[in-house]
Amino acid sequence: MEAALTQFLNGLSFVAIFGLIGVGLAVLLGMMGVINLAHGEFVMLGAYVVWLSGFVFHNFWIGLILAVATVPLFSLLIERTLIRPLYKRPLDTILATWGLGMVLRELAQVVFGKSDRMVEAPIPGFASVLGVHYSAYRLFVIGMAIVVLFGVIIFFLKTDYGLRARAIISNREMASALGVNTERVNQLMFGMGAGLAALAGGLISPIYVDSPYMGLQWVVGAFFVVVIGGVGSIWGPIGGATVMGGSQGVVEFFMSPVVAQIIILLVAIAVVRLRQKGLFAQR
Amino acid sequence: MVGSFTWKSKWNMRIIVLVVLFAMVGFPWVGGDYDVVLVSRVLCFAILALSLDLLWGYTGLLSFGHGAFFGIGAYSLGLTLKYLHFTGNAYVGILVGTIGAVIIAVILGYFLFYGRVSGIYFGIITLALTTILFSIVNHPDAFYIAGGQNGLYGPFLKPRFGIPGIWEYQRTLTSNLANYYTTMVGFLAAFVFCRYLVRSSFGKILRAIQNNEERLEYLGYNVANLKIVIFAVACGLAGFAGSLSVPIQFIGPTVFGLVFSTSVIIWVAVGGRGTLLGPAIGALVVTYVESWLSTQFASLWVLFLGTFFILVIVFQPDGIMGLQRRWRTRRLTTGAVMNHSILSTAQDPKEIQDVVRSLGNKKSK
Repeated sequence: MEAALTQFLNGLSFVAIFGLIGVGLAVLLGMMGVINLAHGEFVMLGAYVVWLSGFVFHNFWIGLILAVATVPLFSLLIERTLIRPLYKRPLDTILATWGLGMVLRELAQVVFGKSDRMVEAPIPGFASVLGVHYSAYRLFVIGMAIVVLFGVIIFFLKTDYGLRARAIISNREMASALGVNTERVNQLMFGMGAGLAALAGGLISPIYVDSPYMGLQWVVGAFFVVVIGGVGSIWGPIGGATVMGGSQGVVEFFMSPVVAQIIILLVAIAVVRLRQKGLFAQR
Repeated sequence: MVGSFTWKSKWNMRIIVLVVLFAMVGFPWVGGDYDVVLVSRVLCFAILALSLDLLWGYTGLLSFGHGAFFGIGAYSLGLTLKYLHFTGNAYVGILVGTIGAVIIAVILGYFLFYGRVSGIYFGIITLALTTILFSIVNHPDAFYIAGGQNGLYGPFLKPRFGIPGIWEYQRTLTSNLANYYTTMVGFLAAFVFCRYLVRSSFGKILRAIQNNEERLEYLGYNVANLKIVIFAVACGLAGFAGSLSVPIQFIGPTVFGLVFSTSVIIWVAVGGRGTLLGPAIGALVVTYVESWLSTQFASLWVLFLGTFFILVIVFQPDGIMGLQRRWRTRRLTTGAVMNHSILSTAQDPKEIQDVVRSLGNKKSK
């Protein structure tokens, strides 16, 4: 019973992280039809900003705020120089962002060094959840992700800007004809996606080892979240994250991580085969 | 234009081909040992590039994990050599490598293409495939079988040429010369095969898939089957290339790594996708530049490669062959170009013409 609860919480933390990373990716895909293969590198950058600022400020929280502030700015630069010229060529965007990811990984290696880094967890120790000892920091991560995702949902469903964003996802040309500034919203959404990824990166930096290649492990999973969950509505990636995180948690408990990867790949293939729009798509 | 040099005139082409063949055959006598091994590797990579070009350049299916099938071919041959000891086991190994790759491709393709998996999802799944194969091969439990980080070479019989029982070539395949000629023959065979494929009606269908899949379906073709076929062919060719490369280079888990699969894409993109010669040249040029760069800037060369790749995608997506094409058409007047495109649509039968035109061309540049 105890082990099951622990594993459930583990799965929940995966769901939280995949949710943050996947939502950014899905918004980009659904809104602009842009596939950003460098998304994992935003996660990596978030983690490294937190790590770096640990040396300067000796405070995790300042680092986290910095990460969420700087990475989106950087992503705006990328949007302007790389995505914009390739807007008419979606296939080339895939390649270009892949190249960008490569460049960012190598730059990170050069600047931060190849070896793995660790960040101290800001909330040490354990907490007691229903009689189980669980890492207090992980609980915080789960909680934070839930709060943030909730905020994103409210943003999309209740605010004016969110309405415009949904209009663009629904029918870009019509929205533009109705007076929505599609370029501006694009930039905002790109930045938001990057910000979510950076937040995820910062949050996971104390949990997992930080290396220049950490983004790669998450980007494949993030795309699976998008594939399984579907694009076009905010619930898609959240649903996908639940499935991904859940299965990762469950399978890892019973079998080795490699088998878990294989099974998740099979699940993704099955979903794509049977319901191409994704399990939770609304169109 | 009488008397001016045109690239495509029959005699000029034949002379050029003969010169190139002569150079390839005579190369080992001119180049040093290191260069011969490098060119052998390049020839294997060129076959791999050709296979990706078939898949991506002609059919429009971008695979992010094509290196996986190269690795399957290489590991199959290596494992065959390790566990099956008899003369001619090299041939069996190559066969196993190629057919193994084909089988995996067919199974994967059956699930993917009947599910109408489009562009990016296909890419992601191939990416996941290669990542998973990497973890499997790298796994500590597989160490005794696959050798882990140390690679496949160990105390097992080196491959031998010959026909079992009738004639056995006593020198093992570790001779650089034998390797070079093997890969040279392999490359030429692969190139001729691809060229034949691409110029046949099957090749036209492939281009049609990339151009507008829906239209092809309305015309009655089973697009999913066609995709499975070309996927199997391309992966089989990749497996073949992988097997050929076993005597030449270190076979380790890196062959399933991301950098390698990305490199293949770079070769095809830089050389010019959709032109068989382009990717082969791309493989040659990029590998040479890589090997030079890695001696100059031991850790930074991937950075340069990535930046260069981005620049090529943004500014010259047609690659090297694109440059050549631009040069050749620089003298065409606007009128000539317009006439050419009008002519090409006038070949369909009248009834289908309107439907076809209204469906348009979906291939994005």
